[in-house]
Amino acid sequence: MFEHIIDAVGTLLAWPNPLWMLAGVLFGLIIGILPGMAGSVAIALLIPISFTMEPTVAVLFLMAAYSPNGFGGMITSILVNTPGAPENAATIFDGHPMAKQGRAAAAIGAATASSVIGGFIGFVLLLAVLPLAQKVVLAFSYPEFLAMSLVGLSIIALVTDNSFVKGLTATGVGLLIAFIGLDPVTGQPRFTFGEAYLWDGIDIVPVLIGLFAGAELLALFGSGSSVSEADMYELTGEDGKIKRKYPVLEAPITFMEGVRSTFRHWGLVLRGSVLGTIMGVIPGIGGSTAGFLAYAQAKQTSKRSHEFGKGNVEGVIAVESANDAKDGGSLLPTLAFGIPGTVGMAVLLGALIMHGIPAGPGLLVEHIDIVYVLILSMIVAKLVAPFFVWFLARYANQLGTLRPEIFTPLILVAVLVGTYTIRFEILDVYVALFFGYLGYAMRRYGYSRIALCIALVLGGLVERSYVQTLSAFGSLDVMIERPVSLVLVLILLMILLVAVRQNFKAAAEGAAPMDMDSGAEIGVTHRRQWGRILLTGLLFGFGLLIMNDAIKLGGQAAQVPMLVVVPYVVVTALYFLAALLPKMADAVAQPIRQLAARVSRKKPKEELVLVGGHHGGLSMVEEARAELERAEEIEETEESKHTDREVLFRQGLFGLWSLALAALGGVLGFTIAVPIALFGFLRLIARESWMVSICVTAGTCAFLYTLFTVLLGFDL
Amino acid sequence: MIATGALAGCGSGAGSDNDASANEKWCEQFPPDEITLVVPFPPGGGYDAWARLMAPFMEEILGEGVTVKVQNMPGGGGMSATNSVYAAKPDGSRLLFIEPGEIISNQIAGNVVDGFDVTDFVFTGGVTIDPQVFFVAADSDINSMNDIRGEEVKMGTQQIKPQEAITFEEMGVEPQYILHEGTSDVVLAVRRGDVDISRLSLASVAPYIEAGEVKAISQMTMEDLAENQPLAAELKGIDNLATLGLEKLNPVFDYRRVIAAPPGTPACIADTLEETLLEMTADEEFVAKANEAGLVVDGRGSEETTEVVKSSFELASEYEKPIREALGIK
Repeated sequence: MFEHIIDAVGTLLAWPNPLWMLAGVLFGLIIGILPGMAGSVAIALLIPISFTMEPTVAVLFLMAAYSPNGFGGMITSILVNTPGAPENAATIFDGHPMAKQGRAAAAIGAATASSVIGGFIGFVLLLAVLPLAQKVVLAFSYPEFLAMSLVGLSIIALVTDNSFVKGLTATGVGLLIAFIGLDPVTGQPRFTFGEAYLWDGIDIVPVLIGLFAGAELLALFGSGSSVSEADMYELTGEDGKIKRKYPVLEAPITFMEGVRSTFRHWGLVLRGSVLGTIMGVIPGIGGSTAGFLAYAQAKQTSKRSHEFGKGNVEGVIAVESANDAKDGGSLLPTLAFGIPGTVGMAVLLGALIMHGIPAGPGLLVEHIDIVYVLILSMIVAKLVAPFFVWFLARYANQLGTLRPEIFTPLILVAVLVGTYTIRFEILDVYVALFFGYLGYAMRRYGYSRIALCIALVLGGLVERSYVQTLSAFGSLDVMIERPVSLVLVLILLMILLVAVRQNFKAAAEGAAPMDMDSGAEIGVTHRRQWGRILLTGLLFGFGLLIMNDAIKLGGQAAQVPMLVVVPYVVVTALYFLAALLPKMADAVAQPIRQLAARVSRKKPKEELVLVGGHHGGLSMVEEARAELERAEEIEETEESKHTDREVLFRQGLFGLWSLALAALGGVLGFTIAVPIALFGFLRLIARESWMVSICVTAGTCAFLYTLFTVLLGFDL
Repeated sequence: MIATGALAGCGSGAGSDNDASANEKWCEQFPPDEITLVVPFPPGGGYDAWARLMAPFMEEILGEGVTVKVQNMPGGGGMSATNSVYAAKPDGSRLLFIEPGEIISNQIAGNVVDGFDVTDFVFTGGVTIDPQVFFVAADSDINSMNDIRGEEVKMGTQQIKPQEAITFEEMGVEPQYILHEGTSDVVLAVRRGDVDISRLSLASVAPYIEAGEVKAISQMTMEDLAENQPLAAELKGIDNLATLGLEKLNPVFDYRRVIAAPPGTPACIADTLEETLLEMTADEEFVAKANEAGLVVDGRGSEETTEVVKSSFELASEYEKPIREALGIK
């Protein structure tokens, strides 16, 4: 083994290979930063260039581009609230709130350090279990997949404890969207409403981009505020010195403070890494589940679990260590069976074949030299990438304070063009826009976007493995008869128990409800709001559409969807009614709340809550009312620059403009649409000066053109 | 009905005066500056590898100033790409690289727009033949397709295709289909013993056979495998269509990767494209490069390819009932 490693080191150091390494890492980072582009895309794009190289050098180059991808995605997740790929979805939960507090650099620092350590641990574990590889992979069959995906879904109960029913509703939306496309029983299209576009289902990435980034941009431009709202420093009165508001331990601000906080949470990093590696080993589960699981376990075990979702650095550390550790894990099935653990690995195997290296199980025997170059390149790339990231992170905190008039259109352009390049499908861009508006409405009315996101990512796997388990084993009994799935089922039960206990505890202590989405709002209000009516009506209508199709479809392919859609339709119908008749709804809800309050009255506890903290010794009803006031306060401060009417007008304008950009892009291509739309926005909507408008437009277009057209050879 | 007629009219084309003058213009302008080769799968897979290998050779043969661009259009079970070429101007600037069986199964299942007909395409020729293999776990009791006659089997696949449905119908097999996300999931399921049997192209399953993880129990050509196919020597003597008495199923198992031009493409353009394809597949450098990448070149002309597609479609249509039953379509 050691001679192979030494040989591989020799390959890595041989001139000009270090240059290829640097080029690959830089390219991989840029691809990672672009929303919608994953590591697999980086490899696919570089395959033609790699043809000019020796196979070993090609592997080095491709791995250098693939490995640091998560670093890039993490940056986008933190700064713009957009997971670059589903793998980074859980990073936004705490990463973006940190950016909002002006602590983006710390979030990036912590994420970078945990990625490096996690990645390293992943590879060490990989080398350790390589001899057992085949046994490990074969231990996972349909019942284990099902149990695993249910464990993933159950996390929703842990992370959305604001309104349980609204959380479930959002979960329902996610699942129903996941069911669109080819059914897992006969492989025929369903819920496609005759549209070929919907055959393969709705692509997850545009949905995530819209739900998080789109919604964020809409809110930012509407309110006229910058990404980071809070100032983490303050002037102390007497000596006129600038002091930080919170101690370093609770709230790291700079990149290095972020790095240090990772080292302070060793246990967390270790747990996340082991979890990530295991999840990576199982083909078909995907890295995104790893992130969610790591996040949930971090929240469970943290002393400051109530700060999760509000910018707790622990949330970032757990997710990112798991995220990069999975790279090591996913190499295991790739090497042991020639069966890729992730899409990226699949593309890599394809690339190897094109280099004349048969990617089957023989790889480990016949091309062990290449295997070591592959592993080592991935490790080294993860060590090189942080230097680039560190360089970028120096500006991260300032980036958050940019004026929204310039910041929001730029990000929107990047995000939409990025969405388009996923598969050059203009409808994806409209999907992203639609989910942008939906995400904004969900954020405003307290429906968890995270629940939707988890359900959407895991929905397909849940149904598929359920159908597979039933077809192969006849019943679900097998889940408690097989050891691995039994353990998973026990874990699932444990999570559900903990979630129930947590909800009771939160109610009893009257602690501030914990919705991950900021600005969430509790349903105690008498006003009739058009936005609420629209949203609940839309959710209800969507359910009806799917239910109607499911009834027509019938048979096994409709079984699981019916299980979800029937309760969903009932709940959304009630919400819709409540939105139409708010007074009546409140009258019905009041006695229930009072009952809950009597049951759960208990002594308060003092706790440190960073942002929007609330110490309560109130009954639940009073608490809920106080919470509503607080939420409204936040919304008011968020939107203090403009009146409600102005905000609505600005959001409407922004929404229409983005629609126009998409439409123009579809007809004329983005090469023409971007400059027209961007300049129009800056000059006419944002009322920037001629000089600024021209410079910003020209700069952006030059950047996009160089990147997409010149470097990547895309036809926009 | 009117719309269908109009579409069909657009498709078959060549009749009216307008078309004739358009054809003349397109013939003069051929080859255009840019030809797009549409691949119905994402980058990185086998189809993509083929297309990217072919592009530079096609450019060279078609002459200076011609760029051949590969466009990946995954989605809709191959139908997004198929439809985009089906509806394209028949001037030779947009071509489809596909295995026609993909389209045929969609058409039989009714997953196409009104008026669509796979046989409308102008097939300029095929670049490879992809023998199909039924395989089981290495330690399985099943050693021949004959062992499963009249039995119930769990069949692992990505999508239920006419080939399985027809074979099982003919052999009296009662299949329980278990669907998977990708080919690698299917292979793993066979290995674990969660499914009894599966079918893939020889090229994709060969590495696993070689590593002793799965065993091939029959290959679905009419005789022993051609010598240039992977594992041809090792698999000599295993069951084939003839030994199984399934000769009449040959058309649906005749898998070819072909280049198709939009319906109504004039002969002048189709002929040049066929010549290009045949010249390319006969080029030693092309064959060597393909072999390096594990691809087996077997160039076939337009006439043969069109005939294969036609008879495959006809046979699949004969079995429409069992196919639609397998797909759960009422």
